Amino acid sequence: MRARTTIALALAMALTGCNGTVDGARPAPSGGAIDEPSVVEPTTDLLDWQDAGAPSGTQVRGPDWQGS
Amino acid sequence: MSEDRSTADVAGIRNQLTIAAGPGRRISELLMSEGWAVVVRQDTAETDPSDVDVVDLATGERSELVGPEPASGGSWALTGGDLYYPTYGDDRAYCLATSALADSNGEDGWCAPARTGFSNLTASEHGIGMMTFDDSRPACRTVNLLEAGLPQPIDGPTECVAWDVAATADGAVWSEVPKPRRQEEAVFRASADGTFLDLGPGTTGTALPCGDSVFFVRDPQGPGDPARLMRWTPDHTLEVAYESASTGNAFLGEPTCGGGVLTLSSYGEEGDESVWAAVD
Repeated sequence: MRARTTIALALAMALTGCNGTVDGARPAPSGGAIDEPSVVEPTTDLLDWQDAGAPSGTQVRGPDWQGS
Repeated sequence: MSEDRSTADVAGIRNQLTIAAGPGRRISELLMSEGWAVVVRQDTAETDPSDVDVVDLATGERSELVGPEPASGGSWALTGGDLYYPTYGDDRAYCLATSALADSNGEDGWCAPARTGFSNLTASEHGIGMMTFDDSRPACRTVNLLEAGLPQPIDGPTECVAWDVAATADGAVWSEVPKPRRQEEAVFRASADGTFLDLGPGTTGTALPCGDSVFFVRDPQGPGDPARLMRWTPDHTLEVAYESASTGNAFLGEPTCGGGVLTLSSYGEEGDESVWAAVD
């Protein structure tokens, strides 16, 4: 019985990634009512920015190309 | 594109081409997705229809847009191989056209009723956003998502004051301009699974879907504050994705997105820079 419980717990941990949510599932929003929206405080999580030179006109870039 | 909007360069791994606006025209839009580049060449007198070049980025092949004749200027959006743009219908109605670039197939869509129009198109895998407006003064603005080709007002915005809108996986992000005399100052909000969230201040006209998220610019909120690029994620978190080195007197250009890659220009006393990043 103990072995079966251990396996079940390990499976549950693997599925939830140890954070209580099933892998791939989106956390439920903690929003409010339409006339009383919840205030969301930002956290800092900067993207991995790369230098594209001096600004000049409109630039668009993709993985394999760029437009300018 | 060049500073004077007379040329646009499109460069890939194997191909590079320069597209000239041509006499009496300037390049008004440069759009890119994973597989396509679209260059819009607008009549400087803003009367003749825009000319449009489509570039298949896999082959470098350049062709003319197939679809309804574009209006001059207006708002354009590209997601994947689907292009959304303004055209004129019967009796000069202002209409939304779509073109499936891979199929060289375009068609007319919804037309704005008389004395109304649309602008601020955004496009992503989650949907097409559009602001509609009437001819009252000030105009009554409504933000919509396309459903079956028709604009449907989203739930949440205060009547007549919305500006930006972008679809998300389970709702939308939109902006409202609370003070008509401060048009550039907006507050951003989001809906998610029928609930509503206040994302705080932002700069009007900067909402941009890119990758799995929606981004918007937030100007410095005080003398010691940097300009920031904010990110609303599918996990319902609000993140600072970029901060300028300059504070106070700093601002960001309108971000652009191509194939899940953001490009951003930043200006301030600590120096100007242009940067890009892949959105995870």
